[in-house]
Amino acid sequence: MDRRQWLDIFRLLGLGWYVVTAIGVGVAAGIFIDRWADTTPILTLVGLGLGILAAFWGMLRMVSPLLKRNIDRKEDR
Amino acid sequence: MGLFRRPKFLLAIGLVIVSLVVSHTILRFPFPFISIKPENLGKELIPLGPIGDFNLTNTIFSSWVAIAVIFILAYFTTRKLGLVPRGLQNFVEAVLSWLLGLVDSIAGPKGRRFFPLVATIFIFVIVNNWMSLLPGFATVGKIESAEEVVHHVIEDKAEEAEPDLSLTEAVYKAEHELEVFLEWDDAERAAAPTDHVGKQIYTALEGRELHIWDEVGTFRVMPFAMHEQSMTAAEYTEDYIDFKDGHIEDFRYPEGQQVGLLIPFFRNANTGLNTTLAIALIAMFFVEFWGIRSLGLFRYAGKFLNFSGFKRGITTGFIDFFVGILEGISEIARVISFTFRLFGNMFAGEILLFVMMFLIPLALVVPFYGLELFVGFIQATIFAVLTLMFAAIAVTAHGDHGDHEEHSEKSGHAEVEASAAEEATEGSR
Amino acid sequence: MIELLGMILAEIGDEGLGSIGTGLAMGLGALGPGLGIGLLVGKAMEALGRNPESESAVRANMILGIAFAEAVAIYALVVAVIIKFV
Repeated sequence: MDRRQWLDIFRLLGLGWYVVTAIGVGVAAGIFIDRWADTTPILTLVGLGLGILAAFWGMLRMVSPLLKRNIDRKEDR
Repeated sequence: MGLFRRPKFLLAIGLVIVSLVVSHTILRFPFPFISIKPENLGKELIPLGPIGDFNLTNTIFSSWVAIAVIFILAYFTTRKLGLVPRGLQNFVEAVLSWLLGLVDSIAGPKGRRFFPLVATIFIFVIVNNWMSLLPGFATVGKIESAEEVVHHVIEDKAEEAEPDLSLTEAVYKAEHELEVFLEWDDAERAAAPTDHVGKQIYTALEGRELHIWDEVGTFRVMPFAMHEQSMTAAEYTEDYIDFKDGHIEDFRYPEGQQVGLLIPFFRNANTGLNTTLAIALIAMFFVEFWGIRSLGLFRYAGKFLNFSGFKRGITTGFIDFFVGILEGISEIARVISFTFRLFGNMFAGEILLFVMMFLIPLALVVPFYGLELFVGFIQATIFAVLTLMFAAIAVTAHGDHGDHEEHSEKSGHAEVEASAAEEATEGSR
Repeated sequence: MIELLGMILAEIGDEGLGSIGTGLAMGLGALGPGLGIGLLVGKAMEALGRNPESESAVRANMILGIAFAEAVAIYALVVAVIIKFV
């Protein structure tokens, strides 16, 4: 196991919390703006959706180089 | 059942049973009071006017100790530098060259400018985490007496119940309600409405475990002894507080004993949200700073407010703009995930050790100490590696994905191609 | 029967019910990811045994899966903390 693979492991170990907090940030921002603008359920739901999308977007950005490298390696063989 | 015939296995079981017996007769450890907020050692130590007051918490104090440890280590390492490293110098060089290799393999040779920040974060976090496993952390401290604990609870609940009155009046009223509540029998207590102030105070007091010490003094170690060493604050209130005319007159204590909570002097700095948030903010500040410096302010801001797609049609424009907003959200989420990842792991570790100490002292704690050493190292490394990775992503132009070998040829590629590649990777999962 | 249940609930109280909810949220929430991670690693090891050359790809995808499963456990943690402290 070379250093590169250890680094991949560390990178992925950070992913779980990232996904949760991205969704949490979306929901919290939605609730906050909802209270301020008095539009209660709508913006919370929008925030939830945005949070989930942001979570998956950020996850893809963190993971995609790794998957790409694996695919490249497979093609080399 | 071949296992039971092996002498080592029998020995291990015997040891566990002996330690169980010992721990529940002679060496009983009380369950410590766990608070998410770091405890105050000196409340409002330095008044800073409009910003608020500076409270010296035990996490700040132990992070100062960690800084001092790092400083002393650095001083003794660099005092006698040799071309052939020996002793302490050898150790520090090994650690730093491992970190340098880490930086090189993620961010490439250009990433050397990230090294100071990444190494600082790693060393600060790991020294704090490992220091908190030393004896004396979380077990030695000063005592907050039962009087102060009960007073705090009454003040909190009184302020909640009567926000219009001044604090003294509200407390006076609450004390009267508490006395009324204490005089009731069980049936009347159960029948009282939940918004009864006395009942609220009593319920809060029931949740506070107080420790009992055999001697009187200011500085104490966690009681670790044969006799009964804890009672709830509610029991204390029933037995040792004297009321006169609906007002608390006197706090008594058991003969020759001291009742209260232990406020430890040292607590792992990363078990307070303030420290981890501060480190995360510093890390993300530098990430943004490097991003702006290498791409220029407008190009960097274009990552988040992306209008360039509108040139290629309204649909692409909207998609690009939306992706930019997602980038912004994920940037904020990074700071918070840094904060909570480190905080959550270290705080959970501390509680784990407390609970194991409470269940079976001596025997069961040792393997979890090993686990905590491991977790401390892993969390420090994750923090450093992710900072490095975000920095490497931030300094590359939009459409790239942070890995240096790949961007050298691909930088500046169109959005469409990048998203096509992502779809391909997603499909392959 | 219902009277008995009512008495038990009154005895437990609001705070007690909150504690039960916290415990259930965390316990059940950890059960699924635990099973998932176990299955994932087991299958990955099986794949490795059959096809040792593909070690790096298998490991990367295994850890990716573990990260997702871990996220579910953290949802449970967040819910438990919200029940307990809010």
